[in-house]
Amino acid sequence: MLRKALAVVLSGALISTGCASAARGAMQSPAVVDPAMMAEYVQRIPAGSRVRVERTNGESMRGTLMKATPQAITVQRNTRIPEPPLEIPLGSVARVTLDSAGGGASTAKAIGIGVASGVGTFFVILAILAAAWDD
Amino acid sequence: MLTLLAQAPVQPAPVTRGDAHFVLGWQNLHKEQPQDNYNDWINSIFYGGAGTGWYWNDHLKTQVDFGAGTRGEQYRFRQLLVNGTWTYESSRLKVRQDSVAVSQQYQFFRNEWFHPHVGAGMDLARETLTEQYQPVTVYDSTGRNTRIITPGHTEGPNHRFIARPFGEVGFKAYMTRQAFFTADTRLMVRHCIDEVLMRAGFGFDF
Repeated sequence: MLRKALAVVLSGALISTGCASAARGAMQSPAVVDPAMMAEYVQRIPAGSRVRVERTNGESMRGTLMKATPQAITVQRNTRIPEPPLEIPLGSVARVTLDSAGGGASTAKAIGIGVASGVGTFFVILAILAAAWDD
Repeated sequence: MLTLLAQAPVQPAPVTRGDAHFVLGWQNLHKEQPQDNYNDWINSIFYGGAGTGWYWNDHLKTQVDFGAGTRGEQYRFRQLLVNGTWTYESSRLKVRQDSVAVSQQYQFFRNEWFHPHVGAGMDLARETLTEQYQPVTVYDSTGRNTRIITPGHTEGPNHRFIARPFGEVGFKAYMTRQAFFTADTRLMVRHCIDEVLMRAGFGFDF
């Protein structure tokens, strides 16, 4: 009986707080952005700034802002091998934010590579020890 | 038809055409004991290998690996009943594998500094087996002495080829635009998990 009551209470809590809501996607649909306001905003961002661009189709990318016009922005993605800049129509842009984590991203990359190298080295040492161990 | 072909979207060339790598690793072989008394795994095997891969697009890669392990040993033990008296037979199994593996991998992300991947393929190994048997003795209670009923002997080296499917997970972590550190774990399957191979090394894109 106590278990049933507890289950009902927990289920109610999940539903009322939206934790188990199936309509989450619908609730998070992007709001319509005023194109004029967006155009004015992006043209004030200095060229060469590292930006994060979120698009209306849900995709997002990090890159360097090269050019901004009332119709589109031109961004070069942060990739390992440099790629040609992309021209993105402002109509498909949901949000542009300055990517202040630029230094942080390279730090995260360095940490990631360090961790990966460490794990790999650990396994190699483990392998050598295991191979040297004569059972 | 030609018009349709001309209008078809052109698949961009992959960022990376191919890669090559050199790895060291830890090989673990499953060798079932004749009786269920001891550990069925041989863990003390050092592995070295090299391989190359070809990218069909930014996510699909076919890879060929060549590798070999050092000799692993397993102590084996069997209890025997000889004329109503219990005795035992022990042996030492020595195993070594040279292998070639072909796999198809799916690489996550595109043109990033870190790429995890999953893959599956087929491993063809040439296994060399040698088993050294200790003499089997039995105590004769009437004569109060121990006598050898089977002298010590060696079987092998015997060679055999085994083909096993495998699955793998791993990653490439780039240090420069073309040089990377790589690591993966492969599980070879026969009746159950037959081999666990953990590898790490360095490579470069071309």
